Amino acid sequence: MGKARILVVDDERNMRTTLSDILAEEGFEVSTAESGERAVKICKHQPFDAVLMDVRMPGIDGIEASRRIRRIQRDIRVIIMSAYSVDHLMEETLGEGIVAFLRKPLDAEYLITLLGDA
Amino acid sequence: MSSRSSPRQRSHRGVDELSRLQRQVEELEHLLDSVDGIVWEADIQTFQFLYVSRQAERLLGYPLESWLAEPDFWERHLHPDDREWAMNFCLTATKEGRDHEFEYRMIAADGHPVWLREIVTVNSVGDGEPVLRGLMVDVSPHKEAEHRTADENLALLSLAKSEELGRGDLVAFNRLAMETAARTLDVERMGVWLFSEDRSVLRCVDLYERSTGRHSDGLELESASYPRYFSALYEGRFVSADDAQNDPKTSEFAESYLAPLGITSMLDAPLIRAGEVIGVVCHEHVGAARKWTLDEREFAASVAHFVSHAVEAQKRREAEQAASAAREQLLDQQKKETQNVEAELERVRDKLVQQTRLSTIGQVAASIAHELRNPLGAIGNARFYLSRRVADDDPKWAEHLGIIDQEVHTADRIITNLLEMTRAKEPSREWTDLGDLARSAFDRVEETDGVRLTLSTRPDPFLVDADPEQLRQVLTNLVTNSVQAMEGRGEIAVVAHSEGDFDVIALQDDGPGIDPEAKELVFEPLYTTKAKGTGLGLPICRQIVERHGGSIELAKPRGPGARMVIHLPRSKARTKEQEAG
Repeated sequence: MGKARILVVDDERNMRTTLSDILAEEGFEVSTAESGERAVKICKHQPFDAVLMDVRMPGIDGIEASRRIRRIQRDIRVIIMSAYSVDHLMEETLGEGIVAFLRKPLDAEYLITLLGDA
Repeated sequence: MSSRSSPRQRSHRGVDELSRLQRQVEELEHLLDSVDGIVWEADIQTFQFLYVSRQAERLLGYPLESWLAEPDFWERHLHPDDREWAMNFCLTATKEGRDHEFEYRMIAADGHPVWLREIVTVNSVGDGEPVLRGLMVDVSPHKEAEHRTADENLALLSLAKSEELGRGDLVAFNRLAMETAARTLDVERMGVWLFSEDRSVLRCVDLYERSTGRHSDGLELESASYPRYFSALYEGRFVSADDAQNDPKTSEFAESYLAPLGITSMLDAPLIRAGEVIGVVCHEHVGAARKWTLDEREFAASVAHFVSHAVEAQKRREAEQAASAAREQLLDQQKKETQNVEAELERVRDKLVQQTRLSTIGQVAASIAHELRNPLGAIGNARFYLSRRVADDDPKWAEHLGIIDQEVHTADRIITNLLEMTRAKEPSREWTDLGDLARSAFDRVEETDGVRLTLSTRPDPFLVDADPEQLRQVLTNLVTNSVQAMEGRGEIAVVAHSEGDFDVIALQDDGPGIDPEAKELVFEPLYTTKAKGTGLGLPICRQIVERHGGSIELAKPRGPGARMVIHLPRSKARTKEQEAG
């Protein structure tokens, strides 16, 4: 079984850097995207096991980006992370294959556990 | 045969004749004197009396000699008001040779005026000048009656036009009416009596005594004691008794009332309003018994009519006053309600200002939160990364990474509190044990090693119908405040019981306490006395409790420390449940 492939999507560079470094350290194969559009584009050419998706970004938001990606890669696991309350998003995206909603600042330990199951 | 009579016989016959004539003259004079009037004869030019019958002396008190001796006797004794017209009238009629008839006044010897009806004929006597003959009849009683009627009419008119009646002042009108009636009918005691509501008692509302000029009221007559009189009144009958003490209609009063007061005659006119007898106007005559005339009865009826009218006006005025009082009361009430509404509005406005402040802070907080949580997230991530790589090698590294971790969490909690303000989240209620909530809230707070939490609830366990997360947040904030105020050492007592429709939860610490003047200030957003406080803990508590329909306030502490009291409305289901349990 190969390394799980993770796509980290966030418009904040430091977020992308720290997350990809943590996950790479844990042995994941990590790619990053700075916007929803960019993430969708990457997914057209490259398969992923999971996508770690920010919500509020310039351009299309993380929820819309996730929907488009799932149309390309049906089985991809989506983990949403947000600086905002995610309660309303949980209701809004019910049945769209989102496995977790995480609030920033992230509990990195928990994230690793979550992705380990991917 | 007489022509053959002897001179002696003739002379004898002449004497007889004379004495017969003499007798006839005497009889005639006697007849004239017994006529109820003055028969007279006077000179047509001078009006000097040539003859007057004896009645003249009796009627006017002047001796017959004066009548006959004084040439202008008649003119001189005419009433000054009548003198001119009476003389002219007679002169004209006489000049024209007309018989005439008129009424005028002469002044009697004692000075009082006497009304006379004069019937005058112009008589021819032989070839000489005609003489005036006439008859004077005393019509004073008739005239007095006429005048009395006129007086009565005037009296009634004055009552009808009185200001007292006009303005519906019953007390004043009754006084005026009683005085007027007593004077007009020459009655000693006049009274207005009104029936009680059930008509079993007559109450005197005005009693006037003419001799003393005094008014009084308040006497009461019970129907049971005077059945005949009352039943006559109930039927609206006039009670007229010339001999009141013996008349069956009024003799009920004889011993107790009439005899002691010397009342001899009574005349009582019913007061009738809208077809119903409401009382009576009483005329009580003192002195020689009198016979009430038809005129007097009519007058009494009229006065009673006016009094009834005044009673009606009074009732109407009372009704108007009651209506106006009711209207004023209504206006008052409206005013009070308006004031209440205004006070409520003021309160709501204050509240809104506070909430607006809260929500403005919340909006700012929300926008900052996003910006802040990303860098915080990055810092957290960076710390995590570093901790994985270097922590084991150097304890100082580990310590400082720990500080970063702690501070990231602290910063995050501040943001969470700020965000909490913006979320108008409706409580999701469920039955929860207050004790469990308090304990878990206590566990969440840091640096509680030196603090003891005591719980005392009645009943135990104490179930509250509230959003457990929200209520726990309230308790957490309160415990945090207490722990910080006590600087980590002391006791926090949570006491709960039910009071009416509310659950009352009190949290008391034994710290330094809070200045009572800051009672309301502590619930203002951003108000804080702590170096590290955000000034949001208590405003959030209040928001949550109020969303539950309750209230929270800083109460007077029992002993030292601070005391917060929460009132939560108790749901009916819970009340039943507890009663059943």
